Amino acid sequence: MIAVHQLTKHFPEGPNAVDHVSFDIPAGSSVAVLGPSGCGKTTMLRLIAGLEKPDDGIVLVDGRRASDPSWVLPPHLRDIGMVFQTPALWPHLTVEQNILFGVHGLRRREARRRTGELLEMIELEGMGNRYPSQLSGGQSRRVALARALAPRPRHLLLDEPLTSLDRGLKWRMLSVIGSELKREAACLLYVTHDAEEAERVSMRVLQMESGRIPEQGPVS
Amino acid sequence: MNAADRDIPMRSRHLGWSSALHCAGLVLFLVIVYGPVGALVVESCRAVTRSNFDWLLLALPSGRRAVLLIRSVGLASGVALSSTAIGLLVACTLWQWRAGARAYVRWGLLLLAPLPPYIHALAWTSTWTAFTTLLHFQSLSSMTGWLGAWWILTMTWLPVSTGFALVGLESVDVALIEAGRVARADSHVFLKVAVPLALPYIIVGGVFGFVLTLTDYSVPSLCSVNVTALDVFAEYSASNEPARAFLRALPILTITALAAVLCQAPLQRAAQSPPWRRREPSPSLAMPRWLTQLRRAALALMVMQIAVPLLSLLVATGSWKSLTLSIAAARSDIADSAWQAIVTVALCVPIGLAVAQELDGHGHRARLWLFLATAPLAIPAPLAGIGVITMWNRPAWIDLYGSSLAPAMATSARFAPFAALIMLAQWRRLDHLLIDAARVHQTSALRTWLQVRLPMLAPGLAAAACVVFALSIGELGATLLVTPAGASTLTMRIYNYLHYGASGTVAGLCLVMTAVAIGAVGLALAILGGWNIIGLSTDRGGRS
Repeated sequence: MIAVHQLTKHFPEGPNAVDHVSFDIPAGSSVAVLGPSGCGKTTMLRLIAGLEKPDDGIVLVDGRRASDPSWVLPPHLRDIGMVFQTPALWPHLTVEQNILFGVHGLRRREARRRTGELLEMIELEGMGNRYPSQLSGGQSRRVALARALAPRPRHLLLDEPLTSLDRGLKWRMLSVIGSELKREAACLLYVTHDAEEAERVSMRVLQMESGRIPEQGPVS
Repeated sequence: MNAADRDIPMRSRHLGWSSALHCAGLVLFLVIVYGPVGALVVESCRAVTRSNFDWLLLALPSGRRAVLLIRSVGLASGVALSSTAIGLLVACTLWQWRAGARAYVRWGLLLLAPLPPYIHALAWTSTWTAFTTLLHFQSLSSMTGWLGAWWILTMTWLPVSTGFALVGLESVDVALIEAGRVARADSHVFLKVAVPLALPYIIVGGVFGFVLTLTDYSVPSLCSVNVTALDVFAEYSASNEPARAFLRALPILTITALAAVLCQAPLQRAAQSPPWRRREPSPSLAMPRWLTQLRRAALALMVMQIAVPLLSLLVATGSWKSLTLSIAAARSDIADSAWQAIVTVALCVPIGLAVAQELDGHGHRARLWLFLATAPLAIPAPLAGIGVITMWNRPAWIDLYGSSLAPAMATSARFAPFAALIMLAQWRRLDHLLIDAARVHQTSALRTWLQVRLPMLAPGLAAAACVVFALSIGELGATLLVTPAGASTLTMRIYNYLHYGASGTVAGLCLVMTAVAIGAVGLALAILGGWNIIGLSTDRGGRS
């Protein structure tokens, strides 16, 4: 599970990006964060991932203190899978190498099987040897999703992962995320602009405005 | 502005008269940089034909010369490897210095980059002698031989390799690092993501170190070791035959040209991911203990690289009075050097701008210009000087050749490519939409140039001018050959003094040279930093 309590972060020029935010995501459940551009959604995700240090408040991951103003647990020790706003695929690695980057301790055959399985799920079979420069924008986004799912993380942080995908593909990818979530009993924090997407993927929606979460409630 | 608009090469935006100026700049580049080499090639072909092809044997390294070439390549490879490895470790530390004063200090450590190698030689040999005398190791009292040359040259090119590695690491998209950090430990991400992505720059830095070492003869001659570059110089001094010198130089020219060719792919990759477009500060990565210790050791060497020349020169100079006496004695040489450097700047900056515009395109033409702009860096300094003599020492040009312009032609031939590469950095930084807007609303082309383009290009022009000035004032290899009889430059005076050992006078003059180099590069860095071209700014905007 993930829990944040009074989480706050400000940048030198401007108001608080995240302002005393509190919520929790129990294992096996999903939460969507909705809000306009610049309201602090991405910063909150980065704080939970351990990519930023909070100015105030704490982040708990599986009940352990993961971040507070004095200490940050390294991101790779949080058992997190993350999709960033941009695909952020490493250009010098193939699709397969990108997907397997975070996977530890698998034999070559198992790793191949896992990659094949993921490529099939994201509908990119046979593209494992391609480089990111040979992919379209939508394909890159799906590879980024597969990379986040590959190590079977217990926590998924997805920052507008399906932007620019066509509607049909988007719904199919959402069902992939849903089934992985169920299989791993993972918790999901899903950032999006799209209310319909938020309703499809999550059990609960947090509405974020100017770094705060004035409203949260179950999906209608 | 969409990506397609941004990628339109500048040549498609030219106006009538500025196209003419642009073409004139390109022609001037070819004449100044490639003219001397072309003249040497023609002269050599003639000489070979006259000798019934006997002279061709000069180009084949055999016997003693083969051994010399192997040793020279060995020295250059050793220097390139050591300076690249230390430079990468230093850059790894500097990359993470992103807050407050450290963000400025990290670029400040590169201030001695254009300091001529022979000044490092003087500083290190005198420091070594003092050190061994202090410890009563009289048998090790002189820093000579291959080991001495390797150490001095490694220290000389350390800022260059560090600079390239730092620029390479700065070019890595922070998002790619963070994507890795979520999955693996920081050290793994550094080695598997950051270093491979920065590799084009690191390779280019290593190749620079290799080529600059292979073509330098000043440090080997001061360390009493013979290298091929010195052999070329000696051949010309003894025979006064440009063709013989050129043919003798062909083996190292082939090797350096090969290095330049191998450099093309990394350079192109580097040009496609320019760090000067980057806004995000570098992430703070936790490294394993052994790597941290290595980084500290490398940083200590970098600090020594700056401290040893400065302190030893200050100590050797002795007093303010002896410094002023040295300067007074070399007043005319200093004036000649400054004049030569100013003329070089006046020639290099405009033609560098024209070449930079060609480099900013895509396709075969840009690739060809990238080769044309980088290949001259592989030409040994003495050969550039001999080429200038061969080209301009003709009755029709005798007034030009006999004037103080000749050294400036030689230094321009060597440093115009540097101006082009710096201008390219600035050009890539521009928002081309602003130029398009000016074109749409312009009332006169000249006004657009003066009010929009020139101010936008100003930082690059100023930085290129500073760097070319610093390099020109310290140039020796070509200047030594082409300076008219009776004239002398500061570098020539220093080099001549150096052969008689270190003294207060020579230390004082070296100190002047060091101050000029630091001042010029510092000014260039301040200009580039002011426009946030090299990422001095450390502010971080909010995220959505």
